[in-house]
Amino acid sequence: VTEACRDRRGSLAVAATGRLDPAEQAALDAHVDRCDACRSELRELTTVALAFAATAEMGWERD
Amino acid sequence: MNETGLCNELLGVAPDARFVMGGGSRHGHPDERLDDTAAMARAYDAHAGELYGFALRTLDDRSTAEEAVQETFVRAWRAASRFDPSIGGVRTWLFAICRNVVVDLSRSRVARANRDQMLVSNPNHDDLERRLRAWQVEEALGRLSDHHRQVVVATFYEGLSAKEVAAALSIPEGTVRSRLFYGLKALRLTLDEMGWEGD
Repeated sequence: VTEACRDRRGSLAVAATGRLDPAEQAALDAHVDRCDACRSELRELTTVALAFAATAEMGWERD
Repeated sequence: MNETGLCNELLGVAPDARFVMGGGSRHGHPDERLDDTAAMARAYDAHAGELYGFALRTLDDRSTAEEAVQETFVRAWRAASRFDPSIGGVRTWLFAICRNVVVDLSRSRVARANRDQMLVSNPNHDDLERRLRAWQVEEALGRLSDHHRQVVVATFYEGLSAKEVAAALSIPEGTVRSRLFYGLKALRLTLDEMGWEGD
């Protein structure tokens, strides 16, 4: 994992929530296509994010 | 001929159909052979009604009894080469097969009934699973640091973008993104510890 990859972590997290703006998403996609570490990171983050999204849709009441 | 074709042919046989014997007789009983479709059709004609009665008495269900008779003839066709008229007649042989079929169908019916019963007693099985998953997610969320939880909740439960969360909390967007990243990573670890199967 390079320093540049570390800098992309925030983008990966937002991408996992599906809320990255299109230009940034395109740049990230180009990198992820070439970088195994970031691809696997994104996959893991997306799995958790999807579980959260599903739970949120259930109308889980927090507090 | 395949089994389906055979079945259709057998079931299409008129009750009063008569077949010309081919190949002469063995043991003095020309009916006692099952080596071609005409012989099978003849056997069906002669014994299907009685087999149906037997299956119906045992299974107490018309369509299952019909299924039993069809399955009996399918199995008989598959095993026709093993039929030995010197051991017993066609009728005896077919009844032996039919008894096995009836036992198998009873078993699968019991299994089906048990499964249906379970579904009836747990109508919300899927719902239960989803609730369990939600509970795990909630548990995991509770173990996050306040900073991370704040960002995760705002993102997923309030549907805010990173920029909006940043504005709401008066912190840089980069900090929100970083907290979201570490928050998700920590959640993943906690869920894994709980034996969560999210993949």
